[in-house]
Amino acid sequence: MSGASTLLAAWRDELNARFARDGGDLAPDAMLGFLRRTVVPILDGWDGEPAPAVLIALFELGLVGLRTGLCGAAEPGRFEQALVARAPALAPLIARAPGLVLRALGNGYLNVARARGPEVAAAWLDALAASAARCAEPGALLDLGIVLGWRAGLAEARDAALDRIARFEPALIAALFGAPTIDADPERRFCRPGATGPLGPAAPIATVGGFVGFGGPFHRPPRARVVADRLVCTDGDVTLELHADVFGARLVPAAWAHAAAQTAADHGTCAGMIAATAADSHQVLVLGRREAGA
Amino acid sequence: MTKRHAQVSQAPTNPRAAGGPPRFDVADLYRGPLGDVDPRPPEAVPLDEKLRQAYFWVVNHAIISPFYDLEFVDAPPATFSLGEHQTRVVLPTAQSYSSYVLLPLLNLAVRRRCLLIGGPGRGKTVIATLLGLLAGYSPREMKQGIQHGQPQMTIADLLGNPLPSSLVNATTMDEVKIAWRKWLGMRVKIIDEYNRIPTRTQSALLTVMADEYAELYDQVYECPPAAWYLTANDDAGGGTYQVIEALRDRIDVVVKALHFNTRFFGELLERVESGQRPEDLVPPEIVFTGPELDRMEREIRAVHLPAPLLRRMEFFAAQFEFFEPAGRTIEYQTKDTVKVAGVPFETFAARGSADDLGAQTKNGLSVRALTTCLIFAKALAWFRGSREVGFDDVRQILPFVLHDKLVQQRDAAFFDAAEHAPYRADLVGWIRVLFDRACEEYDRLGRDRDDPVGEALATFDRGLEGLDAATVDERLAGLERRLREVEQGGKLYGHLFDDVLALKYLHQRYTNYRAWLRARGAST
Repeated sequence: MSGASTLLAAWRDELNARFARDGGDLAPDAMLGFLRRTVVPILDGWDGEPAPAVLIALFELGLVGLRTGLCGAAEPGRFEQALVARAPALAPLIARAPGLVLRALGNGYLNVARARGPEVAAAWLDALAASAARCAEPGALLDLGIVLGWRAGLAEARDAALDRIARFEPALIAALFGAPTIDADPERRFCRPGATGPLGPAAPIATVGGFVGFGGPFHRPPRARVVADRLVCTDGDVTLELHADVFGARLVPAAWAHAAAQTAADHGTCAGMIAATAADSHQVLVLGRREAGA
Repeated sequence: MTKRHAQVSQAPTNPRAAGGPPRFDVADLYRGPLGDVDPRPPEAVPLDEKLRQAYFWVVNHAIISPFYDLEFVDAPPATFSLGEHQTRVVLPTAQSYSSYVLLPLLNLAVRRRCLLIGGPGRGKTVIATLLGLLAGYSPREMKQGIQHGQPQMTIADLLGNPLPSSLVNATTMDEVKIAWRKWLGMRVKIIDEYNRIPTRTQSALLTVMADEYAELYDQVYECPPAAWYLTANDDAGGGTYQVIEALRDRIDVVVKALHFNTRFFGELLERVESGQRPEDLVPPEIVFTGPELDRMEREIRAVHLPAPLLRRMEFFAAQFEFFEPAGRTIEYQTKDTVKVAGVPFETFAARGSADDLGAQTKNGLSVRALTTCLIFAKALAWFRGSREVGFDDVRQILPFVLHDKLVQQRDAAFFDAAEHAPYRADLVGWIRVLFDRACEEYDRLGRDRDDPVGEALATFDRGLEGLDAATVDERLAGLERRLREVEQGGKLYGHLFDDVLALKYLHQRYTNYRAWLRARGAST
C-alpha cells in the first residue's frame, strides 16, 4: 500500500466522522474527488512517511476549500493544481506546522485572487513555492508570502513587506526583485527596484475607484483628503485609503478615517502619491514620480 | 456545534482597544474561510497569547467544559435571580473562563502543584495528560509518566530501584547505582488518585514534591522544576489512605471538575463517532518548549502588583489567624496555638458573630498559601494580557488557591442564616464572599486613604539613620496613641490583631533605637 493509502486506512473512522460532522451539504463524491486528485498525490510524493497531522490538515483544507471554491467540485481548481505541483517544495514546511501552513496558503491564494485575479494568485503560490527552500521555518514562509503579495500588487502591504525585506538575505531580495536592495523612501515608491537615478516629473500611474453601478466603491465623485498623514478618498458615504506604488494601486476601506475625512480640506498629495479627482468622475487618477527616463 | 480539532484560535484571543488608525495587518493576507493564521513566527507570538490559544483549543476541542465560573466584567452585566433561593446569574461582559481548564493551565505556567478533584469519568486525568502534551511530551511519554496511586504502591515503584548488579558488587552505599523512574525528570508530573497511595510512599512523594529531589540508598536525584497534577475522587482527602497533612499542604491550587451539562451530549456522540482522542491531535503551534516554559514563569513573576491592591489582600488575609480565646498573651492568640496544642477547636465554644470573618475558619493562612495567592493572581493577570494584577484577578483566583487552605468552621454563626447554609459545601462561593466582605470592611474603614499603621510602617522603612531622640519620642507616642484607640474600640478583629502586633514591633524597634541613642549620648 502507498503512504497515502496506509494513512487513509488508519484514519478512516476519524475522517468519516469529520465529514459527517463538518461536511454539511457537501457531496461525498466531491470530497472523494479531492482526496483522489489532490491529497493522495501529495502524500504519495512525500519524502518519508507523512504525519497524520498532514492528512488531517489536507482533509480540513478540502472540507472548507470545496465550499468556498478554492477547490473544484469535479475538476481540480487552480489552487489545487499549484499545490500538488509545488507540494514537494513546500513539504518540509508543511510538515513543521501542517494546519498553519496549509491554511495560510489557501487563505493567501483566495485573498490575492480576490484582489488581483486567479492567475496572479496562482503565480503568487508558484513564486512562494519556488523560494520555499530558503525558508527555515513556517514563519519565514509567511513573511515571504507577504513580500510576494506586495509584489503581486497588494500595495497596502508595502510597509509590512519592507519590514520583512529588511531581514532578508540580499540574494533572496535579488532573486525576488532583480536588485539586492529595495529603496524604502516613500517619494521613490513608483521607481523600479534597484533604480537609483533622479526622479522624473509626476506622471499618471494608475486609475482606481469607480461608480458602484459598474463595480466601483463610490456613489458620488470622490474627493481626496489627508487624514492622520494618510491619503484617503471619500464620497461622503464611504472612505477608502489609497495605497499605490510601483507594484500596484488599491483603495482599501478606511472606516477609521471616515469622520475626519468629512471635515478635512481637499488635499490629494501625501508620501509621494498624488490622487487627482474630478467633479464629474467617480474615478481617482493616481500620479507619481518614476525614475527619470522610465 | 461543528469542530475542527487542529484549529487554533486566531490571535489576538483577548483583543483590546488599540490606539491610532490601523495599519495594514499582515494577518489580513492569511485571514479567510480556512481559519485564520497568525503570521508571526512561533517565537514572536507572545507567550500569554500562546497560552490563551492553548486554553481555547482545550475548551473548544478537547475538554467539554462549557462553564464560565471565572467571571470578568468590563461593563454593567445583565443579571438574573433564579430559583427558590434567588441565585444570582451574571452574564459576564468581558472574556471569562472555565476554572477547570484555566487553572491547570496556569499551573503549567507557574509550575506549582494542582489538585484536580471530582467523581470518576470527569476528565481529570485527561486534562492533566493534555497539559503534559502541551509541555512537549508525546502521548506515549505521558502514559509512561503518570503515576497511578494504588494501595500496594511502594517507594521503589515511585522512585526507582537499585541496579541488581551494583547492589551485589557495591562495597559502600555510594557505589549502588539507582535506576531512577523516568517521570522524576519530567517537567509535568502526574499523580493519579494520590489518595490511594500508602502513607509511607506518600512521604517519599512529599520529598519529591516539596523539595524537588528523590533519595534512595543515599543516592539523590535532583528533579527539574515541574508542574504537578494530582487527582482525587474525594475532595475530603479520603480514598484508600488518609493523605498526610504535609502533602495536602503542598498543594497550591484545587480545581473541582464540574458536572456534565447534558445539553452537550451531542459532543460526546461526536467523540464516540470519531474514535479519536484529543490527546492525539494537539496542534504543534500550542506546544511549549522547555525554554518557553521557563520564560513564561519569569514573565509571570515580573507582573506588577500595585500597592493598594496588596494592602487589600493583606487586610483580607489578616482576618483569619486571630483567635482571642487561644491564649492570654497576644502573640499566642492564634488558631495555630490551638492546633499545635492539640486542643479540639470545639472546646472553646466561640462561635463569633456572623459578621466576624475570622470566626468562619479553623485556621489562618500560611506563608505558603499567601505566596501561592500572589503567584496565581499574577498568572491570571498575565494570562489576560495585563502586566499588572487587577482587583478582579485577585477576587477570581483566591477561592481556588485557598480552597484547601482555609478550613471552614461549620458551626460558625454565619452559616446559621438560611442564605449562607449552602456555603458549607460551596467553598469557592464561600471564599469569594469572605473576600467581598473583607473588601467592604476595608472600604468602610477607608483604609485606602486612612491607614495609620501602614503609614507608621512606611515611615519606619525610611530608616532610623540620623533620627534624633525627640523625633523618636514623638513616634513612640504616636504608636501608643494608636494602640489606645484600638483599646477604646472594644472587640478585636483579625486585622486589628495584626495591627497591634505591628505597632508593638515598631514600638520595640524605636525603643531599642532610643536606648542606643541614649547610650551613645552617655558615652560621648
